Amino acid sequence: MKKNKATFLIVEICLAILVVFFVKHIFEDDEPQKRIAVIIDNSGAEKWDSFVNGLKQAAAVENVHLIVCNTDEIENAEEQRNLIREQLDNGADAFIIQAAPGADVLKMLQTTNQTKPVVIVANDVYEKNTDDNTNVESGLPIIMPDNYKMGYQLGLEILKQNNNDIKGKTVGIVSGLKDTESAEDRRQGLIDALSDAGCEFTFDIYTTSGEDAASTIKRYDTVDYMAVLETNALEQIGQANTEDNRKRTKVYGIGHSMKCVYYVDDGLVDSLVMSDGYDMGYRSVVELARLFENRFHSITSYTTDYRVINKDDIFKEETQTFLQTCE
Amino acid sequence: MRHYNKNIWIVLLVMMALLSGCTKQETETHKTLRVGVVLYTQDDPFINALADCLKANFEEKESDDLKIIMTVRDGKNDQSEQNDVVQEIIDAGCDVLCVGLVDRTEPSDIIEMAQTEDIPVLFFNREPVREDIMQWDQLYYVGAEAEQSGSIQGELAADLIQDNKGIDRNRDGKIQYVILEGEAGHQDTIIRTDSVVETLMDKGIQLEKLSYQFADWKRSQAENKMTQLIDQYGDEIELVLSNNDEMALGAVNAYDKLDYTEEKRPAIFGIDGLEDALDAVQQGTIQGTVYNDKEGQAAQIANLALDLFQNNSLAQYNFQDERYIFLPYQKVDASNVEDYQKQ
Amino acid sequence: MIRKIVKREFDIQSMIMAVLTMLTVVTSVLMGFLLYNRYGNASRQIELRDTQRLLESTATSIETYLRNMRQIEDTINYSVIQELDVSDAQFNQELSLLYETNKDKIQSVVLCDDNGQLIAAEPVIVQKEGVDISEQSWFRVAVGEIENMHFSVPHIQNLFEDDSYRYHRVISLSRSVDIIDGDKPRNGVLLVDMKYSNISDILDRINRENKECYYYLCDGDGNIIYHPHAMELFRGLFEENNMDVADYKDGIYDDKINGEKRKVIVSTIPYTGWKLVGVVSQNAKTDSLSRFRYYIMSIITLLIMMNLLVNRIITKKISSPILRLDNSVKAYEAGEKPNIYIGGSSEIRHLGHSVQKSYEQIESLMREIVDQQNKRRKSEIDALQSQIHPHFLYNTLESITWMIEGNRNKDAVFMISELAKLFRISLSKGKTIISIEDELQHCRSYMNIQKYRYREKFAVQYDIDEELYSYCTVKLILQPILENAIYYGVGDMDEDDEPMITVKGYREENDIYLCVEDNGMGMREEDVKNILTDNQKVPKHGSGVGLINVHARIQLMFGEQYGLHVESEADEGTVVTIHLPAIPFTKENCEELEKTDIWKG
Repeated sequence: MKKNKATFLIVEICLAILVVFFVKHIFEDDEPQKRIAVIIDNSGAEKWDSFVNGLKQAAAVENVHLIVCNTDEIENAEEQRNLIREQLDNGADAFIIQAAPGADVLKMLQTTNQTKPVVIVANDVYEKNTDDNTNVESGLPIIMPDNYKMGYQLGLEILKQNNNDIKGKTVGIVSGLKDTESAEDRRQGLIDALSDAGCEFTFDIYTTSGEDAASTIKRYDTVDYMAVLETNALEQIGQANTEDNRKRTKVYGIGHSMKCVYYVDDGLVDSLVMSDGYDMGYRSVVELARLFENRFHSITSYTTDYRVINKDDIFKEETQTFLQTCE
Repeated sequence: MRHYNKNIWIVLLVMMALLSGCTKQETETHKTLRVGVVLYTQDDPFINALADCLKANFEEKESDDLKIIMTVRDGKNDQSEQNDVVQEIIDAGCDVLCVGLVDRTEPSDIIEMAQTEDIPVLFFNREPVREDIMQWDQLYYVGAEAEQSGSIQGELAADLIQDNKGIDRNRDGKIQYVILEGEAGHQDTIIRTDSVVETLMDKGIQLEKLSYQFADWKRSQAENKMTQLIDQYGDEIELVLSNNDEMALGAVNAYDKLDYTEEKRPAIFGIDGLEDALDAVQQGTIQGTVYNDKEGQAAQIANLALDLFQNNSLAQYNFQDERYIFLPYQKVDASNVEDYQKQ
Repeated sequence: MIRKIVKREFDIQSMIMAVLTMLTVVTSVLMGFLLYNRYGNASRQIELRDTQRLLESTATSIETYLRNMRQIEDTINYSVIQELDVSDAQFNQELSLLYETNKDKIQSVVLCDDNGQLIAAEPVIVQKEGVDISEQSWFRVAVGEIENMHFSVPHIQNLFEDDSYRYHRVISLSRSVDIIDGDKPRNGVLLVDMKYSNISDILDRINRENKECYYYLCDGDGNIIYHPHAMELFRGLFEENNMDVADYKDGIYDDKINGEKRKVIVSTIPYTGWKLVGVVSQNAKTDSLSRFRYYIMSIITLLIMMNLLVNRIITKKISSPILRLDNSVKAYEAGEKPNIYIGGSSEIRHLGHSVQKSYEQIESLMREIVDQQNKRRKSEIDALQSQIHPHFLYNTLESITWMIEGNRNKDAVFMISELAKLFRISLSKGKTIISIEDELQHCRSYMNIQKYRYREKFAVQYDIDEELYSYCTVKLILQPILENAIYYGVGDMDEDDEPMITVKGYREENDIYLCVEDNGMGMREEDVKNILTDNQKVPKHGSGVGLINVHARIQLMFGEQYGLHVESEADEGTVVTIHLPAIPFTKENCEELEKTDIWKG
């Protein structure tokens, strides 16, 4: 008798659990979308177009809600933390962050990661480990291009396009925001590539996004080759590269906008290294979506591709398809 | 026993109240104003210059207590695209919107989105129709009156013609002119074209229209069109009226390329007051332009945005029709161009 | 293990539950399955049809757009190029006007000669340096096939300088034309670059609507013109089989990529050979039916739950009375009083009643048995007691003493041995049934002793068929009668009247009759009646408990149809007849009788 009752109750309970499970699945679609907040420097800038396209496409496919935070320059960890806090209040479930410059960004991001998952894009934290001059790594998943290699590749391009001989020539380096990993790594890559070239580095400056790089470099002597390692600076310098100037200074750059490509097409810039922003954006969202589905998924870091774009490359079909993401 | 429990609850409640009060204080002492600026395109140098002024203005207003984040987004010359951008900005969190519409007749989606979230909108550069602005009391427009640009241009031209008999080269008492227009059917094009011609005629100038060309506001197109016109009319052209500076500069280029001497060139007038145009006025290749006070507009937009955010009184603004702030266009010719040129 | 389960006894409740449950589950699942299938198929059909319809209407839109383009190109060709000389100022004017009217669709219009030299263009902008038109594919294909208009795949325009440093993605429509240039007829190529955004906007819109299907556009060779996941395709994050699709004719096809099933709908756009392809996912997890599936499954599970509950209630209602009945029977069997459950349906009530009655009957019968056993025991004890009645013993022993004192040893010996025999048979080793032989011996012993005590006052005759000797009887039935016969019969008679007690015995088929006859004083009629019923009159003299005792013991042993019968006439004599059944004195019979099955008879 008792056994009967017990069996009956157990069966009923099991069935009830099944029902709850099914009903939950019915309304699964009605579940509010997970929200991913993206914090990048100057989010409206054209250089992020490809990246944002990748984010949006992945967000549509994976059914997550994307929030690209309204930002201008993010100069330190404090500002970034405020933005993060604001988005946490706004219901963010995860973050895609470009690490801000300066110290204590590392700790701040790691703290954030304990609350909600964080994926780092575009550049990692930069904190020089004073002992051996290497970068500190955040330990968080990173999806970004290899900035060092990009700088290095640019250096190689300079050599390649000038018959591998730039001995005695002067080179000016224009980098992005100081104390950011992207600026420092690219610069180091470039310098390493040209270390045996026998060239002279006339100037080596950093720029901020509010600055007009073109007018800044006027303060320095004219150089033979200019390596401009950031999109904004490259656009400004490229635009200012007049007919006369072009005969004297060749500009090589790292940039992520169609404008930069156009400058190459026009001869205002001689060679361009561009990383695949679309891939970066797409993957970061997809990885977070996987994490939402399965708590134990561990996000692996990924290095996105870059490519060299010279004038004759632009209208090749492959390049055109690649550049389509910037539209 | 009961007493004991009640006391615990009271203590807890008081603590919670204090804590929440604390955090609130924290945010109050350090406020952030988030401004979303949406341009109709990022290819218009005037608009870009305006955005730069705006940024400078906001930067000045920042302080220890107040942080201002200004995001600039591109409408990509597509109104539905611009609407999507505004949606994204609002979604990410925004306190004030500054919008330069792609299509001035279609602000309704943006107004609706902003109204739902109680975000005031400052329209600039392209003026929405009155009925749309009046939909909600948190909508404003900062700009210049389109008619004024045309009439000032007309005044400039009229003054020059009246002062300088050399303009009418063939001395037939009529000024043969061509007009370089922006786009067919475009609001500003129509107004500017009409008002400049009307002003000239009101001032008693006899006109003969040789031709008109659309050059899409662009310098190089204007250059090509001008070349064609020169090809067709040669010296006959006595006056070139351009709806904007870029096209005026294009006309200058055309004459440059054809090596026309100064005597053979017509008087050229533009509108906007771009840096290059000011330089041209100074050099005498353009005879005048109408300064679109982007500095003034940017200042007004920044002030108004901040005042709206802080709920300050708006008494000091010179509103027309309660919502419009018009900054007057200014005449610029060789006599005062230096005032406008930046050092 | 299984055998154990199978052999297990099932109680009613489990059986009914099991059957009902199985029925419920099977029916529900079957129903759900059929419903789902039907609906699923219908739904998929509808979805396919809708997709196909959308596809076709979009194909029509695209076709219309392309036709527009061709018409524009035709207009340019016939109204401008064929009509006007290229050097004519109006040529440019007309061209400009046509461009302005269609600015939203067209990026630019270009006319060049057959060497690739630019003749005219709208809008008028600077040609790019270093660009060789004759190398561009739109030019080559137009020159290669002069009779047709050629649509290209989307590409970035590479002809003009753009002030704002922008590239424009276009689809080129080119054809070979005849140009009027002075008096020389020339050949040239007319190029109308259509804004790609027009096509992509149409396709963006339909792709945005639906998650389970997407649409893409490819040319006749399978090259992608538009794909919502074009970027992913390029980067290997997505797979598409557009190259295969290029060979498909219009219609619906089954397809599989990476193990995922889908349906592919193809619609060809005329003139260009472009194919508009709709892909509908058939993947169980992502298709629109998944929601419905879960809905059905939860409904079925709920149904089963409800049914199980109801089943259980019904089952309980049916089986509970039976179980209670069973339990009360079990309780009774365990030794409690019969308190049978009466309830449930009429049949169960009836069963309950019957069982209760049966048990009650058993109870009463058992009580009767116990009663009877007690009575018998009591009677026996009484009889025994009477045998060992002190007076008889004293008197007899006294007589013996006198005899011994009188030196009449032989008589004493005789008396003692008779007494011994008497007592031996009285006891009979505790048995109740003895042979008639032994009973007679007991009689004789008793009479011998009494004769001596009564100094041969009376005579005793024995007339018993020897055959009777080996039949059964209850012990100590003759002696009390003889005692009565002596005390109330012949004891007070004169010697002269020749008092005589005769003991007769004969068998009539299955009956045995033993008579004790005396010619004594007899009894009055009323005494005759009372003698077998009234227990009050216990004789003061003598040693028996009387006829009542004998009568009762005989009846107790053999049944009510046997016993004593008394006939008497005053002063004449009395006859007491003992009626017994003729049961041979065998071991088996004795054992059986000793058990006293009181139902026998």
